[in-house]
Amino acid sequence: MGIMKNALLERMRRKDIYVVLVIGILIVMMCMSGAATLSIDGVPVTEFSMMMPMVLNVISVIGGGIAIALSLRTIPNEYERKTSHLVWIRGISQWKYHGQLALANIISSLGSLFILYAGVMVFAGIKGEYAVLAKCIPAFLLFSVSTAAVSLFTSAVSLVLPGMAAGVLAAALMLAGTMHPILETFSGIVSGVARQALRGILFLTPNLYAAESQAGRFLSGKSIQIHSILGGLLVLYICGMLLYLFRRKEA
Amino acid sequence: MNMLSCSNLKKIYQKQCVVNDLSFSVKRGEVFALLGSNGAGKTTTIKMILDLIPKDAGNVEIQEGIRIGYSPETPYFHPFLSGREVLEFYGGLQKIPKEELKRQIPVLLERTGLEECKTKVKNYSKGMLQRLALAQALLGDPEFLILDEPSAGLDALGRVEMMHTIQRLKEEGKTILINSHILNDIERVCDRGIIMKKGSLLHEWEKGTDRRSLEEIFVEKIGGAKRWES
Repeated sequence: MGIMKNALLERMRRKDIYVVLVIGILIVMMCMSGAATLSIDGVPVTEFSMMMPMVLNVISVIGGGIAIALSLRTIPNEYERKTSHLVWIRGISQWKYHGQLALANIISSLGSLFILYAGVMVFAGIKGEYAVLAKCIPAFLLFSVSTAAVSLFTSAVSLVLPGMAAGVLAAALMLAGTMHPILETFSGIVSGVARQALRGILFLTPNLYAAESQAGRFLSGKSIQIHSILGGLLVLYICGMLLYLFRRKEA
Repeated sequence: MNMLSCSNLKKIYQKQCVVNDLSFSVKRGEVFALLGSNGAGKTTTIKMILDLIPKDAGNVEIQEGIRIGYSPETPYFHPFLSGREVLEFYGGLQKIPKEELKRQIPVLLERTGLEECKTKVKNYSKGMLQRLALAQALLGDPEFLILDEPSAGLDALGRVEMMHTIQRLKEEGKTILINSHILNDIERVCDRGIIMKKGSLLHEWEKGTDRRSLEEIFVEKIGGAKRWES
């Protein structure tokens, strides 16, 4: 676990991530404070139960972006500065090496996500929603599956693609995944090539929204769709398999 | 008895042959040098021996069951760790028991002159990093050491100290494969070696078999004097 520990310590020393995190916290706080004039069908959204799913969605997108930023360079950096040489010669398998680095990426990504998510807990406390507050931690576990998958996917593709390509691919997966319901709605509205393109995107990208929205359902007392959570875990597993299958030829 | 045998090694990078049909062997207990100008293929050869890059042809045979230590040309260690923590980290990767590590680390730090150094790696000089690289290569008491440019970037005193350390390791019976540009150092500590040019073996050198200095042989074989004269 030494590789993971050092990678985590290195992540924690990156100041740019803290800047992004602070901006993210400010956006989340703004969404919850009522400073943003949000309305649905002309009705202002002020109720906690109405705001929560939207805030969770905002947190998910910001958290996903931070996960990509944190996970994109970890493995390539190891190879560029040749830290990998001293690991490979000690007989550490690529799977074990990359696995520990990816685990460090996941932990740091979920740590950042939790800081953003803590805003929901503070907001629930302020609003006197103590029942919701009590459910916040288990809900976070449901909520974190898709961010963990984004981080793991980014780590995997960073092994075989150049930085920019890996980042764009991971961001595309994250955005399409978290906006699945919106894309589905659009695919029903548009026609022709645009419709085929949207259907193609929906077919190729996992529905990350389905998994993370279970946290909102759980917090608001609705029943959880187990198949959506299993779907999220399956995506996580597939990303793990990609990390296992993608290998470097040279240290 | 050969500790290492390389036969017909070949490596092609972007259609360019950087190591071509290279064969040599290193005997147990000797210090063997890989010599050559920049781009001769010395580091590529070391990487093929260590299986850090795939070979395009040829074979590497290392005596079975021996431990290998490797000191890279440009070592990078996590800057937030101390020298002791770096050795704990790599010792942990080697699965050296904690008690054994506790015993080994002070010895290695003393041997490489880093015992007094309590600071983090980020404050290390180039010379200290090279010494730390050597210390991590010595973890687990390997029989075979591969040192890639161990004197690179060291000042005169640092070089002398590094050569003294290599000399002591030789006296302890370690087999050492060393890649260096500094011919005086090589001549002092090495028993045999090869001179490479553009990936191929140009000349086999053995201490005491030629009245000329290694530098003279090197210049003659590589053609350095002609290059300057023209």
